[in-house]
Amino acid sequence: MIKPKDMLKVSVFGPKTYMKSVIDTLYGLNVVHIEDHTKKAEDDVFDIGEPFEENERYAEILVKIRSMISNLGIKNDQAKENKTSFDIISKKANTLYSDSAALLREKEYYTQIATIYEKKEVEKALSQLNLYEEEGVDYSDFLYYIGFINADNETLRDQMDRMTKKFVLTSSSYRGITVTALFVEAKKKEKVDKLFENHNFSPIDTPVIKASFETKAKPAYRFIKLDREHDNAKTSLMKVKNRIEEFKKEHSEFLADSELRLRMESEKSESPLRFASTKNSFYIRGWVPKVNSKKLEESLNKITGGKVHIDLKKPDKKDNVPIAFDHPKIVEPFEAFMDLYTLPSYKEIDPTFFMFLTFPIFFGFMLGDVGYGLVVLGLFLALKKTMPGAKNFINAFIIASLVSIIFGMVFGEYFGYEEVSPGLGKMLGIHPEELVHGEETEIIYPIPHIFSRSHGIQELLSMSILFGIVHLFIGYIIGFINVWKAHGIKHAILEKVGWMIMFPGVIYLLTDFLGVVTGYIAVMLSVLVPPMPIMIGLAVLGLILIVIGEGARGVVELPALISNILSYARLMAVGLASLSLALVINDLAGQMFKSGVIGVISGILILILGHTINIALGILSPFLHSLRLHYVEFFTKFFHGGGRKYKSFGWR
Amino acid sequence: MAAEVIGVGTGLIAIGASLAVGLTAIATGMAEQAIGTAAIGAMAEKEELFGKGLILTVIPESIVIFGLVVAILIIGMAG
Repeated sequence: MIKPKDMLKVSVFGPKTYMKSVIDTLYGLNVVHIEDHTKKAEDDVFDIGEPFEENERYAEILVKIRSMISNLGIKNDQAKENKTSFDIISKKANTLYSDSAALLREKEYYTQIATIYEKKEVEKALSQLNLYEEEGVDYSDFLYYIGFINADNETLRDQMDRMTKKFVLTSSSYRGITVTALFVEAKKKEKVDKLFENHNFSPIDTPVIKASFETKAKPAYRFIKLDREHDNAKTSLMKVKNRIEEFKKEHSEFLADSELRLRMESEKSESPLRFASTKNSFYIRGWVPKVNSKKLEESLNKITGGKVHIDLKKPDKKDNVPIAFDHPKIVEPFEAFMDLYTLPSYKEIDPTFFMFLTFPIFFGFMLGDVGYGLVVLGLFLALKKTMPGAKNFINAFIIASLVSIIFGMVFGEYFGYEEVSPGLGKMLGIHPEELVHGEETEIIYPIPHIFSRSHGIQELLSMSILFGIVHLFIGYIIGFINVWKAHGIKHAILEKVGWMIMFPGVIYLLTDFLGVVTGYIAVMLSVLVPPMPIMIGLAVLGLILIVIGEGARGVVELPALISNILSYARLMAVGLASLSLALVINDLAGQMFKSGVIGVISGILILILGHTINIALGILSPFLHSLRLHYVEFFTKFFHGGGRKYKSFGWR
Repeated sequence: MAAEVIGVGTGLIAIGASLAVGLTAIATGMAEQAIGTAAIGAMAEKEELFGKGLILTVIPESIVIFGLVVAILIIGMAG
């Protein structure tokens, strides 16, 4: 829990004939972090491997499937691997691709027609057509088709050519769709009708054109009623949309599952690029968690019949081992804060667990209000659904807000209210208290609490400093263990014990000398302060150790110990700032409530607006300050960081 | 209501406390100004630096907190 997972260095060496099955096994196990092979010199025996040939075919189908997924708006976060053979997937995907392309083209076509009618641009569209009367042609037994069609001119002409020689076809493009006029001999009516229907022909206002055309043999450019055509286009559009919806419903599972499968296949077939290889052999280097190593070895031996060489070694000091966190579920959210800063290195203690212990306490101590805690809790519970990507952060906030609610009960604060009105107080049976201002006495009904922040600023300050002393001392203990493990006990004593035995002196300075810590906490802490001569002796000894261990730099940093501890006063300061703001908002609104209807309305507005701002600040500042206390004050006592993340080769 | 008489000494203590908080707050502001500008600049280059930038920006906040501690100590002198 306080150490990253134990890792073993793994090398797999074997003939290329087994490469594919080895890759499949590694991918399925999903436990090996592969080190990419880099070619260091030109004469390196090992070259970078080449992707499998199938990769191109996978990529081609994958592109098609992904374009369908994005065009149809399919969600694929619930996908399961489609395990049917690649040939079947590829065949089906190709058919679906052309079907969906046709559907989408049809949708685009009707959308454009609807737009043209909507914008009353039919005349413009028609004027694109070059219609004229050819001299000496008898139009009497000719049929004509004027309108939009979902096919380009070339295709139409080809298909008409095959049918008859007696036709005149003019087409033009408007808003990306084809406007066409076709004159054709009357006896081909049936065939042409069918052809045009296949191409979603949408005639333009036929009766009007007809009326005009027959008298003048020219289309009329005045259109009286276009509503019907507009409606037709809209219905057709609706129908296409429904068909697309059906298509989506029917095939979305296949598409999502196949996308996942192909993504995995393509990752696998590209993976040789990360290996070292010669003409006939391959060499994979990587890391595997110790707990999974046995299974890895067994599976590889089983699949290859022991024909590949597997070597498992403990990492040595120079290795940059990838870090895999090893935490119970409840600590996991706090890994996000390590990602934000830097991951621990392999040999040192992983501080995530300590952050899990103290981060919510510091956050809660600063926010410390039942009402605010509930709002923050609700907010992050709601965010959890909408932002699955930031899961860890949100869970950390949920834990922190629960602790805030507990601290709110301790402090007796509910949206900044610490007392209730006499009526409510009597009803709830709250014990009244007398408050004496000079000669006046006021009776208040405080909400039950253990400790009131607004009435015990000195005490609050003492508590905050106490948190600091304890937290930093823990930091030095962890530092001691880290140095001990890395460089031996001598270094550990010189570097960390020196600081630790300074603590009694520091406590003396903070309590009796400066008087920052007062009251019962000071009395409690004074137990740790030995008589003056011993204390000074310890401090001098500590100083000597620090000088030996860290040199002049250590002496320069001496005052930093006190300033680091004093820095924990922010636990008091941030909390009080938030509380004071809440009190001001409540007072302001309370006075408004006394002055009529408008007063009540503006009072409510002040309450909502004020508390919203205060809650926003109440999330941001406790978060930042709590984080800072860890990063700046706590971590500097033991943490080096610089680790890199363990990313296993495999799916999820 | 009886008029409360505040002595000159108490008044000076109050002024001292307010100076402790006010001046340190200005100092914090000046320090954060420089860090914040640099942090935004760094973020424009590399967005992942948001977390580190945010933390670095609040580091000088210690100054005003020390000021607040001193102010509380001064007010403590007034009794």
